[in-house]
Amino acid sequence: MTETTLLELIGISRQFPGVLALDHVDFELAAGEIHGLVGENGAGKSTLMNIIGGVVLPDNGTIRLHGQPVEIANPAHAHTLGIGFIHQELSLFPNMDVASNIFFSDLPQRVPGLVDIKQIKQKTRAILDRMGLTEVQPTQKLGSLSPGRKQLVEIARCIAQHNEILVLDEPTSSLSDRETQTLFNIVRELKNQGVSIIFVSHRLDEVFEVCDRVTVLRDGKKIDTVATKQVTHQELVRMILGHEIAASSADVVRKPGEVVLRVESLSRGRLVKNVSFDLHRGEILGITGLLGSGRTELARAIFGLDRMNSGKVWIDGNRVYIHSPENAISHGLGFITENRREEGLLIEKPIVDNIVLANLRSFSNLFGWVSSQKERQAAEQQKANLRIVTPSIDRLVKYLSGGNQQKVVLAKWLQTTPRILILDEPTRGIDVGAKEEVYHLIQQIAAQGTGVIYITSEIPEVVRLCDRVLVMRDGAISTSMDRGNFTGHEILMAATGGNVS
Amino acid sequence: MKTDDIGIVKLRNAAWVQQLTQLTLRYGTYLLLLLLCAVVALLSQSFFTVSNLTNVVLQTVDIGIIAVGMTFVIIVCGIDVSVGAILALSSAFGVRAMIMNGQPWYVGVLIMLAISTFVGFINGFSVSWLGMPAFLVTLATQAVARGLVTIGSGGRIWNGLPVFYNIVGMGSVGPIPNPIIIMIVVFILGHLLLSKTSFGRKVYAVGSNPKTARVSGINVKRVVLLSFVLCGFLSGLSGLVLTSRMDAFTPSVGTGYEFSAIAACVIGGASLFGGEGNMGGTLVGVLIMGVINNALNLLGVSAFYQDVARGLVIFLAVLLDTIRKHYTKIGD
Amino acid sequence: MTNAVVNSDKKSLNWVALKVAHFCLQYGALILVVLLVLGIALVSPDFLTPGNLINVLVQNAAIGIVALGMTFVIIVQGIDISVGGNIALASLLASIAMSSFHLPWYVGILIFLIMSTLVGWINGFSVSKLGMTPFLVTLATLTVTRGLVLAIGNGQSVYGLPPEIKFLGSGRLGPVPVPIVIMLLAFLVGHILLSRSVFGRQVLAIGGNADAARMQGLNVNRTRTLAYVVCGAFVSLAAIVLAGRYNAAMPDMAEGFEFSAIAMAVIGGTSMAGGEGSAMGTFVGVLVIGLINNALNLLGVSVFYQGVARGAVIFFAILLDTLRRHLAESEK
Repeated sequence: MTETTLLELIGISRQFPGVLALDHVDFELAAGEIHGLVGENGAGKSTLMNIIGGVVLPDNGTIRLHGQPVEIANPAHAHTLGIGFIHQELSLFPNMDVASNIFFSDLPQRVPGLVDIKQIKQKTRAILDRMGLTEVQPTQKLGSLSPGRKQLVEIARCIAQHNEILVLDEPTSSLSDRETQTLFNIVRELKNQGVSIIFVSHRLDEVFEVCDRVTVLRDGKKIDTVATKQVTHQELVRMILGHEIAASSADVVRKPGEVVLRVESLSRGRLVKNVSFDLHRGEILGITGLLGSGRTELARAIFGLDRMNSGKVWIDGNRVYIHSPENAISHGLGFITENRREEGLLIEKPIVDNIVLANLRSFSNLFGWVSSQKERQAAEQQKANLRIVTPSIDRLVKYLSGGNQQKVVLAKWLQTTPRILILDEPTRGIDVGAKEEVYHLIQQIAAQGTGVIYITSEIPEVVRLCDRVLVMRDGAISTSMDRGNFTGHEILMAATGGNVS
Repeated sequence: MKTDDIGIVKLRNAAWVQQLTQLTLRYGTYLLLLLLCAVVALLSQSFFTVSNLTNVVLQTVDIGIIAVGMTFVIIVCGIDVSVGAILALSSAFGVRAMIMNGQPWYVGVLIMLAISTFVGFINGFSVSWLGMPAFLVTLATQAVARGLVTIGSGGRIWNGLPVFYNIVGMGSVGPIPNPIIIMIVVFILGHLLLSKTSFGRKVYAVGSNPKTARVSGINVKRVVLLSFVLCGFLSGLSGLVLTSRMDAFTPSVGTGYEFSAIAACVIGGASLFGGEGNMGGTLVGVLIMGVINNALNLLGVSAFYQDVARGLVIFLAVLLDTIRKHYTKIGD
Repeated sequence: MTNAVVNSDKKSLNWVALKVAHFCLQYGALILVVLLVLGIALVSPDFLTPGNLINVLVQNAAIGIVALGMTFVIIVQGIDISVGGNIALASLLASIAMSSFHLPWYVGILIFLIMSTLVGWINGFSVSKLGMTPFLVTLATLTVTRGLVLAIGNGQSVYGLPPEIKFLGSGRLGPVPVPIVIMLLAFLVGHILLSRSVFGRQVLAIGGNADAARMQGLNVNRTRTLAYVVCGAFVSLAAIVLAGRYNAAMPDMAEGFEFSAIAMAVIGGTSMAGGEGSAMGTFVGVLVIGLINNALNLLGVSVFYQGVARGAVIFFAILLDTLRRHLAESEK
């Protein structure tokens, strides 16, 4: 491993509407090293990587590659500079064979225009063998491979293109343990060949296992870069979170009531394994865990969006069979999905249309005749209660800020006066001020007796809001903690695979 | 498809273009109608007479009634190219029952509406429950329906319908012919259904974002199904009115109606990408199509070239819609 | 092969059923051909004669070539329902050139090629650069081309084509009819193009993951347009064969080709979702449809019902494809 610096980012800043994603961040990557990048959601990891990958341009700062200043204009340009980026959504062609995927941008041709089948097979075989993927055939259709293998094929593509720098963004989130080990072996092999790898991950145990150094980002700033051998899991967690977050005494104290929701042995394929838990009236139950731990899938199964393979659900002591959202809503459930643009809002429609959407029945009479007046009244009421910032309820939702958009979604569900409200990453992509408002609203909702399930990967939120927290890992509940018995560090440790002391 | 690649988007950054676009989007259709009328009036003396204008509107009744149903289908992000064939099929069997089997007029009505609703159901079921693409499903039902028309009618033309149909087709209330009254009623009811009922709200929601609609507790499949059923029903109704006006049934009736209906809706503001549209706009679109057709006739354009013109109109309508979408969805 | 299927290893019956379904849907077309051959041979004595079998191939040569072109378009998630009008227009213009203007046969061929490819290009350009929906664009081109055929030809057929053209449609090379030779050559070229060439890989890439293709430096718009152009080129070949067979250009020639071509491609494994398809698969699809039509003829089914059958066949082909896709989705 040489000490020469391969890639250097100096004073990189990037602003998005309402949020400073990166604030004068320095980042240095040596040749032939595996460099981890960690931090909470919103810390700036994605933005930094997107800048390296040419997806986003920095507002300020310099980038140096091999000591020469460069501007990475777009992904294709990053490509020619030798930077390979493996995102979570793979950029592969599932309908074509492995060989064509690996060599797509540089297909070997003996006759110009025609693919040299023999050569492409040979070359593919060579790369696959080098990576230890001896059972994978060059002619195999990519779609038939497991997610882990697909990811390795994408890495093979980067190898074939002789990338010097490889950025892996949460590469192990959908891999089995064995596939993860294969990945690590390949990554180590690549390092020996002089390739530098940036390993972005929430899984600190893996970072410790495979990375030489690790850089911590927090709130858009770089905190430190340390050698992994010289720092403990706990110290790393402290750097990620900053000071210990204590439950604010100004927050409303709630006394959870009887069990309102009971889930037993819920399973859904590989994603949710035999999950059981109770939710009480007026309680805020946090569910946390890393990407791929099954939290969202659990919520969707309970709400009837996706079918569960097995499991029983009781609401207020009665056994219920929820097979559709319509059903769920009639039983008093509400669900704020994690992607408000795709599943939470009608983005091209006015605020009022969105707010009344889940409860149209209440605005219409026997014949289905809707009272516009009632709709508007309700929308105005919600606008006032939730303090939605907008000149009018007729404004199209797409013009609202992230925080206000999320309030519209919340308003929609509050209209249904739910007994149980499930929120999945409700403060994602929202500025700090709006976050506070949302926290306050959720606490109010709980105080009024609604059982709240709060799914999030932001530990400070969990510590601040939740009465209890369930930590999920690989589809099952790994730990359950009660208020007063957990700290942010312990939760993060449990979620990332450390041992809770 | 990434919008950046589409050449038109590059134009959008000019300020004047943006302002023009805003105006066009909001009032465009009405202006277009007025403009067209002005142009045609200049080109032909016979345009602005009461009898011609009444005739223009009368001619639009067939397409108009269908367009009401098509509006629902398009808003819900579907499409139905079988409407003309449904019209022909339901009329064929209704007329056949009355003329060949001597059934009374109400049986004829029942048959027509039942058949058309049923085909609408098949379309809707295939699209919503079986998940098949709407354009291909309705293309298939169109072929089957047309084939059945040929079989059912044996290629013959029938005349001599019961008096009821004569009243519907030829009668009038005051100066206004009955067919026009029927169309107006259908438009009013369609408008009320679309903008004043929870079903209408659901239609817009499903068309804008079926995923959000589903999470919000809307039965997406049912909404789509009902839209197609409604469209089928109205196609049958249109056939009833048309057959009444002609006092006859011709096997080739309704050919090409789908184009005009789709074009009318799109010109009137319904977007093929779903979630947008309204009855008022569709009505204007229908009138525009009617004026265009009338103009082509008054100017003595051969029937053959009228097909060409119709194809061009559809092309332009779709182009318009695409431009509309790409302008408004990004930027602002 | 599929690691993913192992998930549902709860009941092995479930697993076996999935495996069977998978096998059926993958090789279903071939199995269907075998079944059809056996079935028809049992029912009709005239079937297994060399004369009849050769006839099946000749009858379906033109439309088979169209299906091949259609395969390219469907793979890039598009569709082209203008193929019939394309054939009619190209044939008309070429025929007029050759019979009225006495231009030599090779000029005629050139006109076929240029005309059809041009229409293909218009379709492709509208879809990729203008961002319009493939179905409606090609619906428009269909209307316009059919309309032009009627307008220019005045609804008449054009006869008096040079003997070379007739040879291409009705002649023989030794014992083998020329259309079959042309079809086989076309499929060979199509196979090389789709499965062996860089262009083919690019086309499949767009269908599989257009964004990834773009990120890897492919000019997606240009390649997509080329897919439509290639379709147009194959369509011109089909037009030549068809015109040669009829020894004339007729206004209603290639009527309904779009249905059968789509059905052939889809039955042969081309998925409406895009990214899947092969020349060989489409050839099997051609055989399936060809055999079904042959069976209907041999069994004396009236021509009227064939229109219905055509619509029904495409309906089931699409249903099949939808099921295929649902199966693939549920395995994830």
